[in-house]
Amino acid sequence: MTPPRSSLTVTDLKVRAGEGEDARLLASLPHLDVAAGTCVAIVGESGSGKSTTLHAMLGLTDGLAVSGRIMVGDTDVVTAPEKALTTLRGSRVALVSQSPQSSLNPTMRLGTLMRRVLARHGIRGAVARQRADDALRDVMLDPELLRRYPHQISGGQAQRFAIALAVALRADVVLADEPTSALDVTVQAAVLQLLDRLRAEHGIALVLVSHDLAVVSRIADHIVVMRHGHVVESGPAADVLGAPAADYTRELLAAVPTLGE
Amino acid sequence: MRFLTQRLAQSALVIAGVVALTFVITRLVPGDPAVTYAGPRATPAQLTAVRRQLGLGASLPDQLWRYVTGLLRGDWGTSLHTRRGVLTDISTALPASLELVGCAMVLAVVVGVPLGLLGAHLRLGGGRSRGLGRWGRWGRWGRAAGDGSVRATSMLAVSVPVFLLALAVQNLFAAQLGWFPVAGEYTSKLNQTSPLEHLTHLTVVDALLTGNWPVLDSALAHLVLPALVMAAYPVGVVAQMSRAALLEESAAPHARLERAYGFSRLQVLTRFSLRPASGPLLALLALVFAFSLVNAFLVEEVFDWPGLGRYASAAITSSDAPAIAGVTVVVALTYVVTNLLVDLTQAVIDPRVRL
Repeated sequence: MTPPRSSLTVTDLKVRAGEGEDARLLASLPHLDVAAGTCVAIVGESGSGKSTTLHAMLGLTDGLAVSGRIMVGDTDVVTAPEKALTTLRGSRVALVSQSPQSSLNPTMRLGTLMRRVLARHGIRGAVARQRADDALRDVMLDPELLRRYPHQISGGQAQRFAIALAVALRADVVLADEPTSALDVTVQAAVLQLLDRLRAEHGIALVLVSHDLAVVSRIADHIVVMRHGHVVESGPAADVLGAPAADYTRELLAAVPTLGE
Repeated sequence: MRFLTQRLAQSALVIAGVVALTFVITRLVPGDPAVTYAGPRATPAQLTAVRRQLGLGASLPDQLWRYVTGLLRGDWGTSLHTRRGVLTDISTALPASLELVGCAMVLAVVVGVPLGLLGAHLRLGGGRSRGLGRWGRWGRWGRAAGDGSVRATSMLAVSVPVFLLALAVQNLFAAQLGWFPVAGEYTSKLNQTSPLEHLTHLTVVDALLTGNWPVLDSALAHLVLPALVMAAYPVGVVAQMSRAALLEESAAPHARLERAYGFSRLQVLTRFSLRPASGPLLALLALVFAFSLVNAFLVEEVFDWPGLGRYASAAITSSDAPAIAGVTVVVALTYVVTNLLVDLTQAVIDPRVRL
């Protein structure tokens, strides 16, 4: 077995709004290492800086000041020119976003979106069709869905399709921003299982952002708890969930509903 | 389908309402149509004859019935000031107006949308390149100034009264500089040397179809100024609206996903946001179209353009009730048909819209 390669490494990341003395710290992450085939979860309430951190990993922090290093392979997202970033986005780092249906262009058939996204990264023709078919099968969607518009499919199907985009592009890193919060409970479980399976099968480095410890506890190997832009606690999932060091983590754990109590 | 039938029924109702209204209004126009028609020196016997000829003696419901069935048969009455059939008059005047309005609408789309796109792109920080220093290629102030001038230009185009613009442009470019002819549709001298054969009554199109190059040349030169004046408002409104609609689309969740999959800001605007934004734009275009038809009334006066507007104002000054009614019905018809077309096109553009 080959040693797990590191797909995403974050060092001394700080995201600020504004300049000079008025600058407000939105998110700070001293260190994070996401190896291929593992899942790291970033947990916190809204405003904790978890989504900002995620967007920084894509270089999509318009108007914010970002410092530190975010290495994807040997590319530093923080300093890379925009042109390198547009190539990196999608092909190496893919996003699965919060509201699956509204994240898909309402005037575009799913097949058109898939084709354009693949073509953007130089995959065209028969190869593109094969990639799309394989990806859809991988997320257990009927290829017939490619002929539909976003409003003609369910939320769960939309989220599976969003994941299929990442699979079709063979992204090393998948960033999932609250991927289940807009879905029904039963569909939530299925989407989580799907992400977990793809992580294992394709060796994807999965970063899962959620406000819900119950969600992340199912699939995360490592958990980072954030509050007010700072890391409160960080460690292997078993430790954080079993013996939380920070009071805030205990509060979050206490908020998780359990059966039979 | 239900939506379509409903819209058709609504349109029919609007037309019926307009027809009824024009009928009532023409009966309220001060002055005796028979006197206008027969002239001031007509004898009482002649007046009675004219009244009978114009159907003024009959009861009101009877007149309404005759008016409506006449409209349907294509008999729109006789114009009191040209003494020709109203429908004949309109069929030559309307195309001349549509020539102006058509140019304005084409310019609105061809110039207005790219202007809006440019404004939105600069506003979103387009043209920024990290490699070229802190201020980037355009510079922060450059971008703000670019977007600002797009907005200021469109604001100006929208707020200048069209008759003022027409007079100013005519005075500067035709009278002072002599770059373009002052007025008219084409040089009337050409009627002797190379008479124009009328097929569609759109002068430019007819000249093109029949290969009448002298008339085409003259017609195009005459068209430039009035068409530009007519286009000012549509271009301005469309630029503003498309800028706003594109900015709204680029803040939508789908735009973030598209950027996350490697598309640049400009690609997201042009390849992904333009289509969802074109729904509201299209509805706006229909409104602007109707508004331009009314604007044409003023522009045609200034440029002596033989269109519907000049026909209408001549009809109004001579209390020509049948002509006024005819113009009103035509404008209403154009408006209704345009709106129907917009609804249909919207269904094609946006898959969420069902007919």
